[in-house]
Amino acid sequence: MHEGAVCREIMDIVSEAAIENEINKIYEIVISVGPYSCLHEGQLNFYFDVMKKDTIMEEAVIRLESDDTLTGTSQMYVKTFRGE
Amino acid sequence: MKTITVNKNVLSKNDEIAERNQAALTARGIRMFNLLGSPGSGKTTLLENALAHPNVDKSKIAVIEGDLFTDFDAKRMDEIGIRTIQLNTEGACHLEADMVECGIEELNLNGVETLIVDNIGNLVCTASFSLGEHHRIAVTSVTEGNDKPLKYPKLFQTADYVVINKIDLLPFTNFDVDRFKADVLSLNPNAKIFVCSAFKGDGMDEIVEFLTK
Repeated sequence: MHEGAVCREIMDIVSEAAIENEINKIYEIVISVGPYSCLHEGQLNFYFDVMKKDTIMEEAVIRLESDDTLTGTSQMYVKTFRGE
Repeated sequence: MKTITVNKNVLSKNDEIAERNQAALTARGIRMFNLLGSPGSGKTTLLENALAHPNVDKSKIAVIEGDLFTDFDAKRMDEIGIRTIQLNTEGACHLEADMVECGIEELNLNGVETLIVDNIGNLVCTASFSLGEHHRIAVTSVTEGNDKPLKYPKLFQTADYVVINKIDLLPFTNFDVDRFKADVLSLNPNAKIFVCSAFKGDGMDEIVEFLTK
């Protein structure tokens, strides 16, 4: 239910890192998630498909990767992204 | 093509504001509680009963009310003489740290020692967003069923205090108090569990004690 807010944060973090690294087009974003991240991949992609229009992420996909070492309140990390 | 390593917490912006909230409140000698639970679990009724307790000095308490719509809950706090401000998210299912930061700026907190955020009724999303609280309270009621901790673990894993409310209705339900407590402790061995009826007033002394100590 809070995937809209999560999507906004992911896009802000990636946009900032893309500028720092002179990346103009992004193809893939990898998010590490803990066992209780409560992040729903389908809902996240629904928001991402709407929000990425007309941005450098327009052609990108988000991939979730499980990481059982993540515990507590912070169980979602922007791990890497791929672009040029 | 390049792969960039970021390793940044998705909610870091929220968490930074939350840390700022906590530091600002700590510096003023104020403890903030984040009150979480389902809609109808009795969060606001718990506050009404606890804050009207004779041991409570109302001048030392302030409440930030969070709801999608209406100022019903702020009016309820007003009626018992508690300083309050109503936040309306108009759709968002949880409060975020920046909303609470605005609430803190607008409230007159002079003389306040305890600030309570009565969060949006929600067992899922609210648990993921730190507001800068010093302590988290999860409120659940016996009519919700005793299986909720294992079904919605994050709230119970992150709560310092867990309150079982509406205990006066226990005879009319199949709620298993021992099972509920065991499940909470299996998720969070440090949780302090309280049993009460905010409506009837049973078990409120202990809750008042931790809110005001």
